[in-house]
Amino acid sequence: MSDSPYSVAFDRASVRFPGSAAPALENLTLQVAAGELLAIVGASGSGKSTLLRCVNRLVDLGEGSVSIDGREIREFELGALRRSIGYAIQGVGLFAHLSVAENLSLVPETLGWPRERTNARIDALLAAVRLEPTIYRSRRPRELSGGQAQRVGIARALVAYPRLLLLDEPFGAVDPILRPQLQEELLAVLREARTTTLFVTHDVDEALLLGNRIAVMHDGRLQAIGTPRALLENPPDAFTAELLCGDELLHRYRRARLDERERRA
Amino acid sequence: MISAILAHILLCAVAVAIAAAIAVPSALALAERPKFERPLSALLGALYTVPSLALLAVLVRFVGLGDTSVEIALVAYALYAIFRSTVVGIRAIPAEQREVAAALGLPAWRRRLRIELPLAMPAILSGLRIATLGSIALATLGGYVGGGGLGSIVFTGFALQNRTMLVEGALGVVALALLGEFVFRALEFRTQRL
Repeated sequence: MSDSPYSVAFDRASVRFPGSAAPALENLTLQVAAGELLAIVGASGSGKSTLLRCVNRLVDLGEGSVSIDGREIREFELGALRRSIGYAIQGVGLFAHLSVAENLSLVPETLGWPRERTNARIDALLAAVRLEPTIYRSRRPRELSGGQAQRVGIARALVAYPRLLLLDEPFGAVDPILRPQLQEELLAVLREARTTTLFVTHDVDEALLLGNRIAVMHDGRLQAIGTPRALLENPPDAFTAELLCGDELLHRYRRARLDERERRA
Repeated sequence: MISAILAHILLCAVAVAIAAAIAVPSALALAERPKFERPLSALLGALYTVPSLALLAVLVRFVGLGDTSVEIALVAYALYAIFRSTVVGIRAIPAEQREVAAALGLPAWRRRLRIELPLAMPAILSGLRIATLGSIALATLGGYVGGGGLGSIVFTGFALQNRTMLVEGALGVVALALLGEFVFRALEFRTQRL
């Protein structure tokens, strides 16, 4: 049903916000393969959100380029580019004056989908994120719990079969007890969706659980990139080692969890 | 008396409707373009500060006595409150919501109408309320230059030294103002508790 997933390439991309001394993103070169799930970790202010927002051009690059399927993003018509990319953020992404179904139909309406197709798609997605459509279609965002709102946010990002998904701390506002369940659900939904995903999180365990590869951001720079296994076994630098491996106990725990993930895959 | 009240309501409703039809779309289009929004705000603000009697005098000179002059003055005064409140309402939408709206890739006017306009609605309604109350007051002054409505009763009462007419007219204006306040407060209350 969906077009093939996008590949994304950053080439020496830099972003400097007016009035701040340090660049938000500095000389970033990075390739994301079609269909890959790249987890991006780092502290707040490390540039990980900026990296994401360059791709749908909420932020424009100062220098360098970002390309999608080998084509520079500035060559795309902006609206068309954004409609082909799903975007979900932490917290308040839903529009309070629209019901869940209306929030989800904004992009399909713009794409000119027939009503029945939109409705069928909304029902399927709500079911996929485990929200009973007959109950939740007509709910307003304020009638949802935090976890439910995040599920709707992810459903909205997926509704128009995006070729690329940008998720910025989608579970950041969710109760830690609920997070593992949402993470599992997300993985299941993404397997179905066949899209490329850039997933920003400050939660290392989340990145280790979800990412095909992990990019570590630090002060606007790409500090390290590799598979969870490679980064965990052989962290290339002290910063990455500190962030990913932590102390001896944490390191062992994370390796054990990774073993388990790989067994189940 | 009843016909004067209805005439007064009509004068104000038409003026606020015309002003809203001009000011709300302009504000939606210009809220994110301060380069154009600022000069327009300044112009409307300048118009708003012209004393109403002076404006009416100028209009009478060019348009003549009667409702048309009053209507033009009412629209001129209503524009500022509605335009500013719409701009402020749109700018007050939280940055995250505006970003998500942009990231969805909706065409600009669809985004404005489906997302920005409803989210700015409480502010727009308060602008309409201020414009309506101002119009009700100003339309009374219109009686001085031959406009209809409650002003004609008040000014005739003045001319004839008829206290009953004066009080009736004045009470009518107060009642209309309170009614306008009530209606818009109720609307604002409804939009605020989404």
